[in-house]
Amino acid sequence: MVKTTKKPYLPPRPSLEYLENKAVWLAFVLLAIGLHVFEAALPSLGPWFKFGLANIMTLLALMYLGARAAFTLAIARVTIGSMFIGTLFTPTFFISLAGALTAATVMVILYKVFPRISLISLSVLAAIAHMTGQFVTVETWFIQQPALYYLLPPLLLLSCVSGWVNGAIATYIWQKLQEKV
Amino acid sequence: MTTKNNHPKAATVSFRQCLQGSWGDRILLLFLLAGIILLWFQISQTLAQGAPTAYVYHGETLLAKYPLPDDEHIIHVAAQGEIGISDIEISQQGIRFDSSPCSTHHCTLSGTKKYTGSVIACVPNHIMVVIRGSDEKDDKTITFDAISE
Repeated sequence: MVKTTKKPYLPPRPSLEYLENKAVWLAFVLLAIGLHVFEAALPSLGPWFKFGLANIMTLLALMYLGARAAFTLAIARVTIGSMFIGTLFTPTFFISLAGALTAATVMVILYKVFPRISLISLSVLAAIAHMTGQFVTVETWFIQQPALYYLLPPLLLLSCVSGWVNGAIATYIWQKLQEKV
Repeated sequence: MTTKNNHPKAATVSFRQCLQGSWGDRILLLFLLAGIILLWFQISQTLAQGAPTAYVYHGETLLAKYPLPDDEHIIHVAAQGEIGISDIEISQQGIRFDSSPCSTHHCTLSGTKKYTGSVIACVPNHIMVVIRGSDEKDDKTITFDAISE
């Protein structure tokens, strides 16, 4: 009597490219969370203002992996980062999430419309969108006073500076990464 | 690894060169700065003229309105917010959050603000204080739960 063994079903293996992209996305997420927590630990540069170093990772995720990766990275880093710094589901979390999603949306749209746009321009516009998104969220949900916007112009000027520097850092990292790959 | 970028592979440049940006970046920055300064100018135009007055809000509600004192008087406003009472000090020096029930304390760390258009907000407690020029039409001082020293 011949024994026939049924071959167990094995799902198709994911491609190496898929696994590599997952690994890169995960590395970007971990770096973004690290930067998010690091920035929260730094002495505040002033109320309402942060340098937004974690946005460098969103920018790089968009360049390397596409729009979906950039969005998921923005959500993941704010959610997990807020867990580490103890602000999950507080107003700070929602304001941060709104800013990160607005910035990611602006980055994605601009990158689709102007594929040759530089990372510095992309970063500066995303930084402005980030700050504006945060203010709109605060004005809509927390303090329904248009007088809040008195604070916006000086903070937008600072956003331009931080966006420029972050864009330059992203450009530098991007070209270094391209060398290695 | 396949990247999804549309940028051509550029020759490696130093961080200093990266920081300088391209002409396109500089022109964009120039336009943005001009726009922001124009916005700032527009906002400053909307501020009413007159004696600087502190307005204390909880969300949409105006809780108190006091002209900044000319003398040594210090007014404390206990503003009831979402998570507790914020103590706001209004004096000749300006406005400041004396204490707040929030955990971040960005409001108390903001210090004293004196000039028209200055804003201090405690987002977790939904309290905001702003200095504006007092309107002629709406010049009635609202006193609410305040202690004068």
